[in-house]
Amino acid sequence: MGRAVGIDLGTTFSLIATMEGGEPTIITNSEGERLTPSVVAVSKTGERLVGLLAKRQAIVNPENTVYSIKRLMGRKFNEASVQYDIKRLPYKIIEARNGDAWVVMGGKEYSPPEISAMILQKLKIDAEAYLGEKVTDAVVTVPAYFNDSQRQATKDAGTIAGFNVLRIINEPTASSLAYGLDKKKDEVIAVYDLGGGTFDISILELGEGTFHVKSTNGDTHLGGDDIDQKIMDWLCDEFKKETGIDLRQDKMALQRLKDAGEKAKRELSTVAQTEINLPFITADATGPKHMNITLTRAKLEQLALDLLERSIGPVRQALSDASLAPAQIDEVILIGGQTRMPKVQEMVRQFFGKEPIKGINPDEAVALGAAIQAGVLKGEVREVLLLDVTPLTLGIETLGGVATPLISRNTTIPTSKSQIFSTAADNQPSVEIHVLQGERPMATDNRTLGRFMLDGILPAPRGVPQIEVAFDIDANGILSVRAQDKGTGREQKITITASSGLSKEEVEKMKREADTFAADDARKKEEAETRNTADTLVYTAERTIREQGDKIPSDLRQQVDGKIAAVRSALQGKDVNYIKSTMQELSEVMQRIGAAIYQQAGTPPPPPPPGGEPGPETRGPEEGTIEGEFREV
Amino acid sequence: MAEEEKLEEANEMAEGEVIAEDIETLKQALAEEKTKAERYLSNWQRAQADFINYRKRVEQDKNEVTDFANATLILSLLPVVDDLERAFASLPSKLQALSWVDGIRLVYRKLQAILEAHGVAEIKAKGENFDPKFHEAAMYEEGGEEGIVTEELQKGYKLKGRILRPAVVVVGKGKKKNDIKPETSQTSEEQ
Repeated sequence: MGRAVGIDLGTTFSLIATMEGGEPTIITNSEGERLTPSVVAVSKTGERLVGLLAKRQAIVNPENTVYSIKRLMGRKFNEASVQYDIKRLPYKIIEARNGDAWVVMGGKEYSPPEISAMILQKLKIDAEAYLGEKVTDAVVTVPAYFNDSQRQATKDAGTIAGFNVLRIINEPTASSLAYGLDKKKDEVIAVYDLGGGTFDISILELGEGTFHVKSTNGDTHLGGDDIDQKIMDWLCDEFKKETGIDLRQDKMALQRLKDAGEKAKRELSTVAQTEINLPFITADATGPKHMNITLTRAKLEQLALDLLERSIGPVRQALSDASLAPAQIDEVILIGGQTRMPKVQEMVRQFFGKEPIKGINPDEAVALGAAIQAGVLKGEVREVLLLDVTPLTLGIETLGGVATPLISRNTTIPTSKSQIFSTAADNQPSVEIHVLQGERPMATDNRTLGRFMLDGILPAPRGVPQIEVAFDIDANGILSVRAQDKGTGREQKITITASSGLSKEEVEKMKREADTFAADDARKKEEAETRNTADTLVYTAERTIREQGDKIPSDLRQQVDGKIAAVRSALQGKDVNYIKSTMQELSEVMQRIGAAIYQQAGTPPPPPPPGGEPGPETRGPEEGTIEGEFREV
Repeated sequence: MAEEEKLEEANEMAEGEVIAEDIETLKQALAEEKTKAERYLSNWQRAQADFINYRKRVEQDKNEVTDFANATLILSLLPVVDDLERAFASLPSKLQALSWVDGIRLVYRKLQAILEAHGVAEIKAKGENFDPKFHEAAMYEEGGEEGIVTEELQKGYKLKGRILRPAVVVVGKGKKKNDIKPETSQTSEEQ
């Protein structure tokens, strides 16, 4: 059983996507691109080309390069639109025996489904190469206004290409699926699709999980390409004003202008102005000429305004055909690359009185939605497990009131994670496991999920016992926390049910607060960690004095006592910098003591001990990361 | 005595029936559980396989990313190379002797050397057979030989053997108008 895919078979571009780990993903073609031009050709050498390669040789081989075949799918030769296209398309269109419109390519006759099948076949082969497995089933999209014969032609194309066509779905429906709108309550959706060459508006009604098309409208010759043309015209006019030279006569200059204009248009979706910088654009008797013009977003909007306003008429008509007012539309979706333009979004917002939904790549949403549908249809045969994520970080409280994370937020469950901790004080007999939920670095700012104690820890210096704390969340979101003393084998655990967590609003609130207080929290955490380190340093210093007292020269002994006292008094206060500086001084004296002791023993002094550095004491390779230490209970 | 025996027999039979029923129910339940278990195993295997395949692909992608991570950056720098070449192409003759110009030429050489060091190579276009794998036809004009590139409007480049930007070219149609191939005569019919 092979893979199921979703295919957006577009007029100028096609895309293919599949479900992966529950998410729809676009599959790149053999050229490494996500978009494949819907162009097929038979080259001068008789080779069949599909996609980018076919597009590149279109100009040298116009009669045998077939593009925009979608315009002929399912149509009769005598239809008005076909007759209109015949005048504009450079390849030969003929009438087949059954009256359908067919094309001639490389001296042979083909039906439009056969041509589309060549595109689909390339998508199939490239997808199989990329995924490393067979691709068998497909959902293919069509415009909502396609009639039965157009839909059948599309289905045939899929079959000829070797697919088992699971279903033909409407493009606006596919984009609604991509946004997960089918999971919401019954509502009315408007899909505003402004691409490179065409504009489509569709009004859909979602009822009982299925979408019905209420009305469609559009403009088959309105799109981003028209805006590009306006930019080019303006650039030529500006240049003529400055230099008197008309670039429209210079084919090469026009090529550069076209690319630069498109690039500028895209940039102006994110910045307020951009420079069109084309040195040596042309030359005259006085020498080379350069173009360096600034295009502002405001100017671009001015140039494009009447084009964009042309889209409103069809929208009004579609609403009227559906007997709806703009306010009655529950959701508006933006599809097609040109909807990235802020002015388009503003116009849509103003017209419908609500914020349009975006967030998914508008060029890819249709293919992604088709993939979702393919996954659903295929999933009836093979089960898909829906897995949750844990919405907030889970951890425990460690020395200094710090919240130490064990499972970070958005981890997919079921999952488990464990870590080794230790005691904070010498001979500490028990540890308290304080289970926390939240993003803040300090324990008190997070939510307590539970607490329990593990006792019976054998007397040992602080930091020596190994307490393994293990968090386990099952598929139902039930958390169990276990603490085990690796030495004695004693263990304790608690179970926390999912409902003892927070509601969706509370989760969002906690996340927001974590951001707001981030700077503050970072400071508090640093303070806590500095204290911990200072504490450890004092402890180590005192232990060294206890154990090696007689080997320490008296002057150093006096100094170290003084420095220890200084750190102690610093720890009483809140000045982190003072704690750090006294720590540094103590550390230096300890180094000198260490050097003195080793000299007495006749061995060269070892590298300085790590005292004064933040972080855990490392004691050997088998000891796990000792991130924090428990407060004494 | 016979009645008691009969009763006992009847009871035993009844018990036997009940036991038989129990066995049937259990057998059914077992069969259901077996089916479920098979399904779970199969799904688990598939999920595992999916994961392994996904991981393999990600590894592959990662390696590619390392090799071609700079592709976007280099691609965006190529227009600068183009413009520098245009600058030199239109260098006025009276400035050619200036040592300052030599300096700029050396700067340009340095840029080329850096790109070469990163695996960038020019695509041969002028005088070659037009090949859509490496060339993009912008114009198709009379002159030159049929199917041979007569002019480069924009240089094409490869990165580590893979095409980075196609060469934008002018393709020759050949010298005489009568040399047009048979198919194209249909064009004049339909227009």
